[in-house]
Amino acid sequence: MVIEEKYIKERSYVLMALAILYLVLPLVFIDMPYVIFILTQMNFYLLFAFAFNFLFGLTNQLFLSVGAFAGIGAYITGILLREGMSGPVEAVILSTLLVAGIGYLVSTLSVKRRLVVIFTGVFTLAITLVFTNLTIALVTITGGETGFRIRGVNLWILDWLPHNIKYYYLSSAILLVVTILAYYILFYTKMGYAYQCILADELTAELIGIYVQRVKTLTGLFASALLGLSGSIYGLFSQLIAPSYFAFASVDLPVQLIVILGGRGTLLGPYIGAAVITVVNELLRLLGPLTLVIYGVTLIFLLAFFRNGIIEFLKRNLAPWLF
Amino acid sequence: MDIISLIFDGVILGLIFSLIASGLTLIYGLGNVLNLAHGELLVLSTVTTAVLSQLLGLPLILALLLGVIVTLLASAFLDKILLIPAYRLVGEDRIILGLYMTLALAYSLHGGLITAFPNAYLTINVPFFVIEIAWITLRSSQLIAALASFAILVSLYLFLKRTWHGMAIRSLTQNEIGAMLVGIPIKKYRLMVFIIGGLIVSLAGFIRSVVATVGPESGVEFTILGLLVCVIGGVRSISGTIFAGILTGLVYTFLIAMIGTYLAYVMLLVFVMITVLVRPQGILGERW
Repeated sequence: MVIEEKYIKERSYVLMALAILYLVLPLVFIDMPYVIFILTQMNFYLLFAFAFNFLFGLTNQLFLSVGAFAGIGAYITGILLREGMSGPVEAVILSTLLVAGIGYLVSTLSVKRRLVVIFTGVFTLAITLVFTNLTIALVTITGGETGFRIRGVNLWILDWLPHNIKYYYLSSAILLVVTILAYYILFYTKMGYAYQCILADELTAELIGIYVQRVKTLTGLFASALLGLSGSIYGLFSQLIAPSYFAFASVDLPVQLIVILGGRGTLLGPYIGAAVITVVNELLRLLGPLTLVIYGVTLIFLLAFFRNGIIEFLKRNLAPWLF
Repeated sequence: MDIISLIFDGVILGLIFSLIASGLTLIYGLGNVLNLAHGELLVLSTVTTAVLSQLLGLPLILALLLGVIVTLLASAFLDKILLIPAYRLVGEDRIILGLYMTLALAYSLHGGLITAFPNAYLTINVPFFVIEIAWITLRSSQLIAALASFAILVSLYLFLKRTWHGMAIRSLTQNEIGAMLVGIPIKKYRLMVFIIGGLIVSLAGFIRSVVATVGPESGVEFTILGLLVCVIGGVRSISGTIFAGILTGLVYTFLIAMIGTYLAYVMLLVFVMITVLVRPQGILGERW
């Protein structure tokens, strides 16, 4: 069933261009490991932003625990590998399932208790803080404030690639699969209709017979699974797993910025947002804590004058076929 | 550490929590904005005071006064300029935009303060004496902090309960449209609430620096603790917030003594999560 046939051609071109760009981009910078490192990091933030975008952008569930969910994935994988309890693939799968379960539980609780957006925010913020404090407090398991290292994880076929490129392609593959899947769901299934209805007006969506609760909890489940998966691979990539990597200021804040800048509830929005944020971040790296000031002021101006994001802006003025 | 002094420490901490959280409650109740920059407002006044009194050598009283004035200006800026786009929206959209706006302000203030004045720690020294009543020993700083915060909370309560302005604020909190229909100017009272919140939170900062030291980096922590207390007490109830503040301060102090800072914080958070799920209207409900 094809819901929107109008711009199908343009949209599939965009998707293809995206895939080619992702394949070629590291080859351009092959001699600059730092750039590839930054690109890989951007990929992971993009994955986090995708999950957050599904939760907040499409179903209005304000999860302020993006970093914590990714962190739980990373810690579980790291601990399993460190203790030699399982291979990397099983560890990643296990932590993905676990985080998916947690996300589903949180989403179900907030839907069943009919928490308003702000209470879901407070609840998940509390989860973030619990996670950060527990990882610091349980020194014997988590290595405390300085975290712990994991090394020499073997990824079979990918192993002949250099470290950075290996994780670059792994994260890109996940990203593209997720994008195409999301694209399919949004434009080719009834679920896509449901998302559009919920985005427009939740109450009306419920009245015309959409099972809003179900859509929300399922989104919670899959978005959290994505967070767990990308978080645990992010842990393998960074090789050091420490609380500060998954703290509110280092994950949630940039992720919110990415989503708002790119456009809430759009598929290409996070891509553009992440690219802009990464470039800006690299340019401002010298400023240290002052970057917070610039982030904050930028966010204020974005929210005041540009709330719908870049994609919405382009859609209205330039290219109505963007998504 | 004996139990009596723990209780006293807990009560003082709790009173400071109540001061921070009551401002949050007032602003949320009336403006529908959860002010995530509230802790930064506190730090703004202590940092201003510390810089003025230590670097420029101004007398402490003048520095304190200027600290309060800077915070009040920041609150007025928050209400009159920063939140204009949020006030144009209604319902949940306004809450979310207000949340993001104040979060953004909080992070810029945080970054700015820790970069510009990394050493602006404020400790206010009061004349030292010790009071002994029966077997209880109190330091003068503790006594002054407790009495000052108690006085502020009582006057806030009386202001809201007994004066006309207080009644207007409560009516706007309970039913905005109804209150506007009987002719209560919402913009005026919104500004008033922001000013009151700013005043109380900067005083809370000074009281905190009588019993401890307040650094430029602690704004986030104060915001979060205030938010937690606010949720436990109910985001629309002042008496609930005050009660929850004292309770939280006491329990938190005891937990820190028993299981350490991090785990005590975790316990507090878990309690907040349970409150959100079980009693989102707060432990005392929607009562003033």
